Amino acid sequence: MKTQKNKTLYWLQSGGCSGDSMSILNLNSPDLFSFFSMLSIDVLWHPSLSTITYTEHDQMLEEIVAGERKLDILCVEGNVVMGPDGSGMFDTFRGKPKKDLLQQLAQVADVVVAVGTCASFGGFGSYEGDDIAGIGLQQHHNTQGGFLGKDFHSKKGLQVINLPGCPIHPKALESVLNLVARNLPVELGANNTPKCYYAPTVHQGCTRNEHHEYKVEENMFGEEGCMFFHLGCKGPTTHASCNTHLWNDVNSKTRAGVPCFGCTNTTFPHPSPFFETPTIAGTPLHLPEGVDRAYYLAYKDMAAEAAPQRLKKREE
Amino acid sequence: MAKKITLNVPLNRVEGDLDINVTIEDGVIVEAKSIGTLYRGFENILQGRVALDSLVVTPRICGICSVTHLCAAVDALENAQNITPPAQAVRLRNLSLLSETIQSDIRQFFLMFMGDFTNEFYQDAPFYQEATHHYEPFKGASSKEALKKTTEILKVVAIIGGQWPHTSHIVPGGISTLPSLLELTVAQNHIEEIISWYEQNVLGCSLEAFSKIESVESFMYHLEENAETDIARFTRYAEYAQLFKIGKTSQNFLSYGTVHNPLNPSERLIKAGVIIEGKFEELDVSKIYEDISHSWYKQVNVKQKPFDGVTQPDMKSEDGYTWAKAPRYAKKVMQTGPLAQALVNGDKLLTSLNDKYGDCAYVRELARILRPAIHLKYARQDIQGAIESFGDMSYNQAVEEFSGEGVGLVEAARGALGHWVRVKHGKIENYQIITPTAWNGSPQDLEGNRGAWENALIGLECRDIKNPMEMGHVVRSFDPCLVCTVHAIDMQDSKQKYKFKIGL
Ligand code: SF4
Repeated sequence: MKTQKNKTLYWLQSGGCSGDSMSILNLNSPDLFSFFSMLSIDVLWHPSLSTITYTEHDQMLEEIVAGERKLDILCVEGNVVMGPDGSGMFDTFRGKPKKDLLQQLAQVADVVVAVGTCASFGGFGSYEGDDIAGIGLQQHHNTQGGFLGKDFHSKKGLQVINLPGCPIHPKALESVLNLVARNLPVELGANNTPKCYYAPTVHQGCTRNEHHEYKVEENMFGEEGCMFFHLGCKGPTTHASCNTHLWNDVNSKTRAGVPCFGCTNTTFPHPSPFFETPTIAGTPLHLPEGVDRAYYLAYKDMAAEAAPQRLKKREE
Repeated sequence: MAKKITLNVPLNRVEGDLDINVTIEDGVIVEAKSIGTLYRGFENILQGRVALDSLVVTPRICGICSVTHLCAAVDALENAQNITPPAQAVRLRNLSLLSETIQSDIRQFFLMFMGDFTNEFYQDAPFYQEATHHYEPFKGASSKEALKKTTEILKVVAIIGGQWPHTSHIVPGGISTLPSLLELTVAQNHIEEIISWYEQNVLGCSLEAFSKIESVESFMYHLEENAETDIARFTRYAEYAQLFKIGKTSQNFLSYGTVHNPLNPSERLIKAGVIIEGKFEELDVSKIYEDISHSWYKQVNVKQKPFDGVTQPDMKSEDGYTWAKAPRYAKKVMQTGPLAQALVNGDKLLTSLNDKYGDCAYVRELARILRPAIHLKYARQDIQGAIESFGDMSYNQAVEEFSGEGVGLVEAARGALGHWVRVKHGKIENYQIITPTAWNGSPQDLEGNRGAWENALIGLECRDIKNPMEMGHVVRSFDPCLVCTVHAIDMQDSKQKYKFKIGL
């Protein structure tokens, strides 16, 4: 067996849009390439970045699967394509369903990481009637199991680490690889997502929090208000650090007047429509996590009365 | 006796999954079939959704050009409802799309194209060490710097739209919010920063000075004078690798044009059009159709207009070999991308390079890395305009339930992208997408014409079939993006048994 001091990483793309790969390339200070070398991670293969030949790649895969070459980290981007009819032939590699390769790699990897919502929970193409019949690695929407089954444990005895997000936030991957590379434990919370990135809600840190507080609402695009009440913002019910670790280091969707679509949630891209808040008796159907409806509504009505003039909407 | 072999070559450093099935006779490619091996079924996901949902769903078709899909989705809805966005929104949209495209051009050139010259295939080349120093994957000094710069330019999109990729800040009637003056000036700094890096490292002179270089001779002279620039190194490597000779497919080009005039949004400052056998023509969208004769779909209605495409899977279809369909323009196979954009727009330098060397792999890739020289000037202009017009309205439309049909045509980094949408009572009834890679990477059509890069591969010499570098150069010069192979399948047929021909 070839021994290696560095950790090795293999990146598999399956049913996805490459958006997660594009997103992690936005990592800054250190940039992605410096990050890998600082952590002594050897990227054995990334389909968009590697230059080894296809014959060398075939050989490498053979060695990994045979256990002759160590695989520390397997990152999977995109859902596992099962269609048509469970054959997986909508997504093939070297003429065979890619899901078969994924199964083999998952058995020999120390740690398996699901990168993005599609890999974590199914995401796009994972619903009844969707052609590709995509499923998540170890979870399908709200149900544990997914492709690898709920009893799957990697060689190191770990379940799949889910890093949802459409796309993944580069910090989510950075924080997990930081721990794995240092042999530190990754503490998982709900849906096997690491707490370090997914404990906060998107709502926390949004610059529109004060508008939310005083129920200064946005009714149509271009206003400066909270989008929870009309425009479908799912920030208070979605877990991710979008507003604490900013996107591209500068901003977030909600800050830019784009509602949170709940892209880290297990059922994304549902429910929709995205730009509307479903209501019950004129108030949002889904309230911020853990609040009591009656108290919340009473508080919001009083808060709206107390809203300071400076927050109130632009000219009528 | 001629030695003939057929093999499937998977290509990496393209977006998504691509196999090329080639037949090689005495070291020369005599047949090539482009096989999109990933099928995604996105158009189906859109059906029945509220029209605005397309702003969230379509960017997710492609992680590398998500803003472009967003623009096309919004264009299609505005077209259907006859909406004109305000000038300030147009500037911010231009900036979003320009930034994404500049990012894509730079990443493709440095990370996906130049890396090939550091492969052991070139270990005896005089430039091998130099190339490795600059462009080795994950390590090369120039590639690392270029990657950093792309993260800078993407900050411009994030400032305007919240994040990159996958945001939805462009909406029918304008843009979701107006950045503050502080943010706009920061965006301006980012743009200026990229410009100075690009001028110094890639071009070797200012954007203005470069725009005066119009002939092949003055361009080659410029490269000699500025030998330590990326375009000069690329040209030296390309000469050695004979990229001037390989990769030609045809003189048919398609561009939808880009950069909208803020004061007259229907006007595109980089103009739309087609070039057919060397002659310019105005674009006529009604001439676009898709041929499915060599795709894995049931062979009814073999030539389909985008609005009434019927798509049923049938991997038994005799001649089928890919999930991609074959878009054609007035029966012609078109190539699309930066070279097409430049030629249709009458760019003098690229026109003279194309006149002299044809649409070879060198000229096609060069057009990509030279495009920021044009795009950055427009970005400079639009950010200045946005700052001067700060405070102007950037949204002018209430969302309404409507019925109608619309087309959104946008230039993506890889070329012509079209969205065709039909909406009934506010819900999407039909959605069809024709991506740039569908044009460039199409299969054969009923008349037996090969797709653009299939054709470019014919006659190509392949020195080492274990490491078919020449093929890689040719196909990568088109900047393929296979994740966009989005076509929907009607799964009523799901009970049938599939016969697979991949890897045959
Ligand atoms: S816009 Fe969304 S994330 Fe921001 S304060 Fe309102 S609910 Fe929270």
